[in-house]
Amino acid sequence: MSYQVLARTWRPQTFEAVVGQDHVTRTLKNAIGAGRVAHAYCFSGARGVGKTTTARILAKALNCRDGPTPEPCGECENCREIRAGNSPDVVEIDGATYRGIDKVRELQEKLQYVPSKSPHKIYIIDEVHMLTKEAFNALLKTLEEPPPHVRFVFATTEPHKIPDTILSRCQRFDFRQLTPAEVAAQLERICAEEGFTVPAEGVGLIARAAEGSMRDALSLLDQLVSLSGPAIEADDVAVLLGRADQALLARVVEAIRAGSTATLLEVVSGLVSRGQDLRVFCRDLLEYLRHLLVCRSVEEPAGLVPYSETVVGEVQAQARQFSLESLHRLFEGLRRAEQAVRGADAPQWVLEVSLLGLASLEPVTPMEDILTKLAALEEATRTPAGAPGPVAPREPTLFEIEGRGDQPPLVPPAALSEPDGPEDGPPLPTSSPKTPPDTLEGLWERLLVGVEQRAFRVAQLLKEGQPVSLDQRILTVRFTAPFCATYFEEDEHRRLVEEEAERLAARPLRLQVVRADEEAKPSASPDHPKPAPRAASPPQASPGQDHHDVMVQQAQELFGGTVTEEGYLPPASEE
Amino acid sequence: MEIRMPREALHKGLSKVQGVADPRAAQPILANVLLEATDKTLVLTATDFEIAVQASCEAEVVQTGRLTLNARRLYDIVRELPEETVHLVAQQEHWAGLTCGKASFRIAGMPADEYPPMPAYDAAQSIKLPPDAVREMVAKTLFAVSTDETRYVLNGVLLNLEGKTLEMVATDGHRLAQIVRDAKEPVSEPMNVVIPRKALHGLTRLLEPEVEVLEVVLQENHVVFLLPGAVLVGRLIEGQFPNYDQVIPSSSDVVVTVGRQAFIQGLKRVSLMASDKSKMVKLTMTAGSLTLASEDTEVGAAHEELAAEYDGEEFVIGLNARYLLDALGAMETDEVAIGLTDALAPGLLEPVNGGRYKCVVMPMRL
Amino acid sequence: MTFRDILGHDRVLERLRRSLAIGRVAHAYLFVGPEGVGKATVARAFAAALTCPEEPGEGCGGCPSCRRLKAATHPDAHVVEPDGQEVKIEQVRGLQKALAYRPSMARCAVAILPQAERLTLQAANALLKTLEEPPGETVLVLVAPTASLLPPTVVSRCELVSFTPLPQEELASFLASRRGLTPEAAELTAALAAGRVGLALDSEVGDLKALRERAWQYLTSAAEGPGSVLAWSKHGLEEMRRGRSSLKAAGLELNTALLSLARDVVVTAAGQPDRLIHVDLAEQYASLPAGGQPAAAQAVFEAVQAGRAQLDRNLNTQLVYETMGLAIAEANRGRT
Repeated sequence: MSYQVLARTWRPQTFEAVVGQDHVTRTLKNAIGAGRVAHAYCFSGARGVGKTTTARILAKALNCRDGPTPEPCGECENCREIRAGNSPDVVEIDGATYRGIDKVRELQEKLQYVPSKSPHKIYIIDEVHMLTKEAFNALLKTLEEPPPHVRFVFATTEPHKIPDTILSRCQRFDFRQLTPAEVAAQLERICAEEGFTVPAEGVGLIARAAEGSMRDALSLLDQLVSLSGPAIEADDVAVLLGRADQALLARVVEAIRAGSTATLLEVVSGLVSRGQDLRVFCRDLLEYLRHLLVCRSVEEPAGLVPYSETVVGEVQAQARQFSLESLHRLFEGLRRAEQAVRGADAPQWVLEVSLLGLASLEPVTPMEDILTKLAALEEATRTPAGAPGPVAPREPTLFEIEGRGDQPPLVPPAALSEPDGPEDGPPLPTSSPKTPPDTLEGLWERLLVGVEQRAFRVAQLLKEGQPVSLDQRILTVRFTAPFCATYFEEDEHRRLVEEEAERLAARPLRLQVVRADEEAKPSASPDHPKPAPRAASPPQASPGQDHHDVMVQQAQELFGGTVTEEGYLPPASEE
Repeated sequence: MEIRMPREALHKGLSKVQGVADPRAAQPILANVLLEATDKTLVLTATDFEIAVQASCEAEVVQTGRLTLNARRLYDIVRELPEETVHLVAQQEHWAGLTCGKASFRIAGMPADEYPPMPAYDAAQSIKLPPDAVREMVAKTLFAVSTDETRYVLNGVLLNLEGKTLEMVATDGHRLAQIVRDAKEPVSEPMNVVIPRKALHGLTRLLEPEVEVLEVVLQENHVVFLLPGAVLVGRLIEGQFPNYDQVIPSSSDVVVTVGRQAFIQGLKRVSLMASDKSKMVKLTMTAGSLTLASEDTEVGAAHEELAAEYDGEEFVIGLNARYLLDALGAMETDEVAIGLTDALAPGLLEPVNGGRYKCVVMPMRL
Repeated sequence: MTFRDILGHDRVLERLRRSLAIGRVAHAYLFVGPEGVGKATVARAFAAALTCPEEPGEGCGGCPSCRRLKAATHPDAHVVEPDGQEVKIEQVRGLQKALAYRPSMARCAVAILPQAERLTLQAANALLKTLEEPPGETVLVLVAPTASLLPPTVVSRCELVSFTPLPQEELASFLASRRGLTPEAAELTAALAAGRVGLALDSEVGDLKALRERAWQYLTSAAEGPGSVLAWSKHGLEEMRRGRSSLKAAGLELNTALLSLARDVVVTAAGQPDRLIHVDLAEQYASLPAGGQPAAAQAVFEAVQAGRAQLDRNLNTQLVYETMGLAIAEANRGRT
């Protein structure tokens, strides 16, 4: 019922059988042959590449009845016991369980004993980097004066966590990641022996998916055989690995380019109903984008992308439909999408929205064009102080879209720019031209900025207000939402605004809150802080006139339409 | 469930099992003892998931049934009861009422269905073992069992039955104890299992001197010991016991015979100065004497000469005093023989005329 | 719980059944997939299939062994849950000790770690040997949201099994047929659960309706402007909190509902009203400003996602909802 997985059954038992680590096995064999075996070895490298396997073979080489020999017989009792993990003189421990100094001391006590039936006592310590600093220090003494019959083999996936003092007393071997070719070759050997049939393409897919680890490759092979039986098709591999084929990926990319939102939603829906892993799909899509980028950037992409000649042609054709910048942006967008999908509880929704988002982006304007545009805007808005310049119409540009999320916008938004003094960079089209602080508008602008820097939330609400009037002592602001009005009637918030206003206007100012349903009256004179209520009589302004009020102008730009009435509502009466 | 029985009988049964219940186990029900009343018997069971002990006592069963009650508490209660008839009745919600003489108790319990099942065994397959021999064998090997939790298979004693030969072996990698005795009748099939230390402790407690019958049944995953009125089940440990044949020297170049008590006393004294960690004592054999020496550079040194039967060349070896004392303590003879080959080979200790009992101690580098 | 009780996950079940049938059961598995999708449930069913003496390879659910599994009193089934926030090394050692013995009742021992991503680094490393070469007949099943949350050394030693959410229609039809929900209720439940069976089964339909209503209220308030957000914040939170274990839990639940609405807004803005999760809200979506502007809709979705991330990081729920609302308001203003 439970059987031995391929990774265990096919664990190499001789130095020759170890795949892809010739630089290690050859050196070890030579050392053993010459009788120059170190007291401590450190085997480092990624998971599943042969560290523990080689350590055990080394143990056999040293303790074989014919040993020390570079070719352990595998049949004597010692060899058999080591293979079964049963040898009293080969101790395999893990650095996580044995990490404390007391464990190291325990071990050191036992070192004095002569091995029970072998020439050497061998300690194989896995993930040795888990040892505490104190434990390493204690171990150091042993490594400095090792008992003659003792050998240590340390294995680790994180050699940088081992103190140099330890490493300098070991002979270090770095196990490399296996190439897909090496993995594929071994897989084919095993398949032949086990009677599995897998087409070369399938073997290639597994080998690549294993990312350099033989154990991972064998694990995948095990899964395949469990699922499909001993006769495996290339399709089975693709399905198991959940990989999408190039045609589907191309279709998705085209749909993004053309803005075919229906297609995109259909594809995702299809993936879900087939039980495909959307995270794997994202990765595949990302990988495809990489291939597109390569095809777009390189004349002869043949060796750099895993496609046949005809397919390469198709990929190239698709790539040429994009500018390089667009492809980069798409790649970046997909990278973020992949990350978002990876952790998501509802990966389907996240993927759909991400793809739709990418589809709705405007085509990317090349960098030079943008800079030219900016320079032109800068020129246009550099007008004499006081007179407002025309405000450019708002478009969703690259920067605004990119400005969201973790990418800083290329141009700082107006809110963060200095209210006083010359501008550092070119203003955004939507920033309002600067007006002097002693006008209502000027103060209001600066007030919003100032308050935002102190308290974001307060500023957001303040923006809801409409500045009504400003005189020597009072700033009147009207709020349509009762809640906002109440908010600014609260001492804490009102005081914040008043402080900022005072700072900007260089005189103490009181904030007067007017509610939408009340009438606001302009204050009559500085001597009357509590003006009597008066009916509102806004000055009439004919549409089309050159309005001086910046806010109205902005409103017109933003919302279009025409101005029918413009003016100030009378301030509210005091309670 | 409802039973009546003499307090003494219940007390006796409970003392056999209550020590096995584990109040600190992750599963609360393991702190309880299972009481099953069938026919004319009350069966008490306790387990800690490694071993289980079952004791059966005669009782007047008014109504059959099962319930579980906290082992420690029940035992304490029964211990204090007067010597009269105990009346135990199951009540609502797994509670139980107990009356004895003028005392009455209500005790909270847990559902019997939650209690782990005892593994089934085929009593017909049992093998008879001589209780005295087993008692002796366990006492002479248990000390050598490994306490290290990395090699679980060494945390027990190997029991080997073949023909009429009974063998037990225990080792922790640095010392080993092996004893061989004879069974009264040959076994039908050879048996080779590692019995966990806990099970053997349990067995020792059940094997009182009066016990005359002991049987063992080997199941695939359990070993079952059958005694009169009691059953002990031990789970078997995964893994292969190492091949110890090579470890036991078949012959020795050097043999030294020394008085056992003198050796023990000498070792005790000299080891006082041995390094705390290694407990190493140097044994020097010269014609007619065995010298024990120890040294701990910061603490001091000790030295003692014992009379010994030896007429060979001078021979020096370092051995762990604790291991020697454990072995010597288990032997019963007046004299022991130390067999050695060289300073790097295992040392063999045997009781002179003491039967087939061997203790091996691995030497340490001097 | 047996294989027969599992909804969906056909590929996974086929694979496990197959392995059991041909005797190729690995000794370590890693089940990954979104929360509530059914991983731990399948792990339990797998345990039954491995240990049931009546129907080996399938599990019967009724024999003493299966009943013990259900009651968590099976001596050979070990479930290692986090002790507090983490699965500690002592727990792993305890497991190793238990596995050192041959199984008591069953043919093999089964160990399930339902929140394996909570293994401390030490505990995970200590587990490596057991994962690679467990003593005797043992099957370990680790369960985690994604493989990336575990050390690669652990993942390498396991057979990876990916769980994907069910398609909405499949889940809805199951809820309608096996749980007797009305088609409308089933649709709603399936929609909000985003294909995760566990979640769908846990929810009460009445609650879900109210939940969606609340989410919609919030969304429309937010679309109106910051004033409305704060107004909502005052009593909306209280209402949300009612009946839930904590404000945070309520916040997370509401966030998922919001996410489904936000996704629909994006789809509406993309001009695909027939691909909505909540088809009955099609007109309402169109009435939102963001429903007509793809960029704004994206911003709304991202705001809700950001809110979720903040809730996960234990930020104050009220603050999260206010900030989220303000961002949604901005988005609807065209001010991203």
